[in-house]
Amino acid sequence: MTAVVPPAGGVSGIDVGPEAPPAGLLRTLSRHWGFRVGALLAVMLAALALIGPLLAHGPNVTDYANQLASPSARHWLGTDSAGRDEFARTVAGARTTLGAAVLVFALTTVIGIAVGTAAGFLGGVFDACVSRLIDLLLGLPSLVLALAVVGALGPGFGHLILAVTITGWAGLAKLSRSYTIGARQRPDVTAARMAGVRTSRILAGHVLPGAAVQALIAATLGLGDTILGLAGLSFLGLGVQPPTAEWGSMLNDSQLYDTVAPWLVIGPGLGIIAAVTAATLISDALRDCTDPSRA
Amino acid sequence: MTTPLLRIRGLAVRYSSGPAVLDGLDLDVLAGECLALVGESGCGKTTLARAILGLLPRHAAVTGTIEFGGNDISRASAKSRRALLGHHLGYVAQDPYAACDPIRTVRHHIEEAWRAHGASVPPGVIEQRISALGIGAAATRLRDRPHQWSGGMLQRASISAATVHDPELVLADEPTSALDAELADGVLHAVRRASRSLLLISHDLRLVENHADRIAVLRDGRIVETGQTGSVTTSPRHEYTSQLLTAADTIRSAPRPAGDSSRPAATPPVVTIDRVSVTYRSGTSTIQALRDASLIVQAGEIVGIAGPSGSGKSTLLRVASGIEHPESGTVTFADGQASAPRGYVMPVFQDPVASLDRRWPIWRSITEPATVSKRLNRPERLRLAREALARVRLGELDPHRLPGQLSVGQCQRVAIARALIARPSLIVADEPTASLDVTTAAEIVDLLRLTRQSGLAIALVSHDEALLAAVADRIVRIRDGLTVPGPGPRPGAAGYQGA
Repeated sequence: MTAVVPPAGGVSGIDVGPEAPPAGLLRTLSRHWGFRVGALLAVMLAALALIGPLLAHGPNVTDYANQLASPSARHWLGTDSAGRDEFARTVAGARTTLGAAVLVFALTTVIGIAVGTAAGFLGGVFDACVSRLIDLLLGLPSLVLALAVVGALGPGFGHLILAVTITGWAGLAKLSRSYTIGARQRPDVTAARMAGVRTSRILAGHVLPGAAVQALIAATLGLGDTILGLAGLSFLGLGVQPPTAEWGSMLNDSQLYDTVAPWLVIGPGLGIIAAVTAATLISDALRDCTDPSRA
Repeated sequence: MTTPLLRIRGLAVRYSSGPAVLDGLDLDVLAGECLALVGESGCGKTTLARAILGLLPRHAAVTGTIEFGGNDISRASAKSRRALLGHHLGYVAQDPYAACDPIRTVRHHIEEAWRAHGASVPPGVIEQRISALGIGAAATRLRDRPHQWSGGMLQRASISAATVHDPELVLADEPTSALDAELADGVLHAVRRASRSLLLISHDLRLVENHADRIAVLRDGRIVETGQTGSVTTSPRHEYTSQLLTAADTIRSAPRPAGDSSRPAATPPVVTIDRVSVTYRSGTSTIQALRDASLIVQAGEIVGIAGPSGSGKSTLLRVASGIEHPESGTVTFADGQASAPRGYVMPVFQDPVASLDRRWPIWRSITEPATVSKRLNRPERLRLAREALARVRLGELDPHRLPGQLSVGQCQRVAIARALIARPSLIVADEPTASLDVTTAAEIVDLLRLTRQSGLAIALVSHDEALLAAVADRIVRIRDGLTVPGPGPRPGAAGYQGA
């Protein structure tokens, strides 16, 4: 990507000076080394999820004569208990796992920020109801709640996403709500209110940008837990159904054979580590670059 | 000649790659004297205090020497410094509330003076010291948390804690800037009496002149003038010293701007507050912030609202802004309306940096009120912002800057520009100069006077009587939520007309 360089010097009578305009967020981010590494990892994972299945064939082809084989030229990461090629399954699992994680991430942040900001700014009965609901969701063990949701609706990928989203948005909403309550008292918001700026515009201009960055960072840090939570449900047979490859369930399967075939951990383990590392690096960079006091 | 107690030679401090904050500073504090170090904010006062205490951040590059009692302490280890602190060098912080842990008792903080050196507290000494400060029922009051004490009392207590071991030198960094003006003198007196020698850091020449033996004036990291107090304040040798004196005087007793008397006597009121009461409830406790308070502000006048902290000044201002609705009494804005039309009242706040959205370039903040009634594109808003900036004498400032890149004084001017762009009838200013040094505060006061000339009314809250006397046409006093008509500083001015 080439940076757009504004023409040097003012052409018109108004000279905006050398400091203006301030660098965009993307340009600041691209100078952050943590973001560069994280983005590289994220791009590689995305490529693996998108074009990987074209390269590694047959993730579900069983070969019972060749169970739990150690890594070799033919099976780079060995085979699992059904003789399936672990490398092919890791590549195929990237799409399921990362797809589910990104979907849950997007849904929880959007719902969490929207509900939390609205509750914090509007207050009153709406806030009281939303707050009690959040307390309830945070008070219940999330896995049990997800189990109940999937149990009621039946297993499947869509229901899995729904279950994890229902349990995941509450924390982010609580965070956005408390940020918004703080922002409501801020002098710049008071000034805007006294000038007669509409509530929706105050929310969009003064409150949402700060709330969104905070919630995004929290959500990114929780991405690793989301992947493992999805795995937990899959392990109980309530999520992705066998034989579909998915990192969490593969990791759970490998635990049964950790003394005989420890290499089974490598593929899904590295995948999860790479995804969580990428998410953490990107969220740290986001936090660094969106704090105007560091500019 | 005796060796000075504290001898600083060629001290230069530079934070990472920035410019030098201190730039070849020479300073002597003699045993037994009080030296006042005066300069406006950003001149390096606090950096000097930190350098002496060894509290500079790791990335600060320090050259030069700081000799204390004959030993160079500028490169001393943290351990050898700790032995020095308390017994030989005492420190009084700026804001006593910020310096105290809110969940610990006052006694805990004073005991720390002994505990820090592993000593046990001699029984009865703390009570005795607190009683000596004129604080009654010492044993009970010491069990209070810091916020239950008044600022003046707490600052006296922390002075007492800093001087427990009778150190040779006490370092006090703006010890009164967080206190009401009427308390400042007493606290300075207390710190002077408790210390053998004192290095007093302040921004206000007039405040320290009654307490200091000598005065050193600091500008841009260098001492520009040192001398006996009397000679510095009466016949300053450096031009900058005269500027500081003028600024300190402007704040206190500036001449009334000309053209005042030509103001029509009976201008229509922009806001009429009649016998309003406001009560805040938190948990089980209720605080009556206002009790039957009344206030009339007329077009084109500056009304000063004075009173001690917690008397309801800010609440009255919030009522006048139309953002606080009283439980009884009436508030009437122009044309008998019960609520303020949008942009009719605009605020200026105490903390100028926080009053601007820190994510927004200042042109966005300034022009936000103008976008309420009409859609404006970016070039139009930039043009408006440049005009508004020129009106508050910031014509050279790049409107793309963020608030964090501006000085505190510049932020306050930007906030005034934002208030003006809404074309308000009334500006409510809550302690607009409290976080500024004297020079900057004088500029803001000037600017407020100037804006008044265009027919604007200003309601100005401050605990600084001298400031109000200098700017306001009349002063309304408030005590325990009740307004008391105060004598206007100028006889014959439109008097108090409340109920």
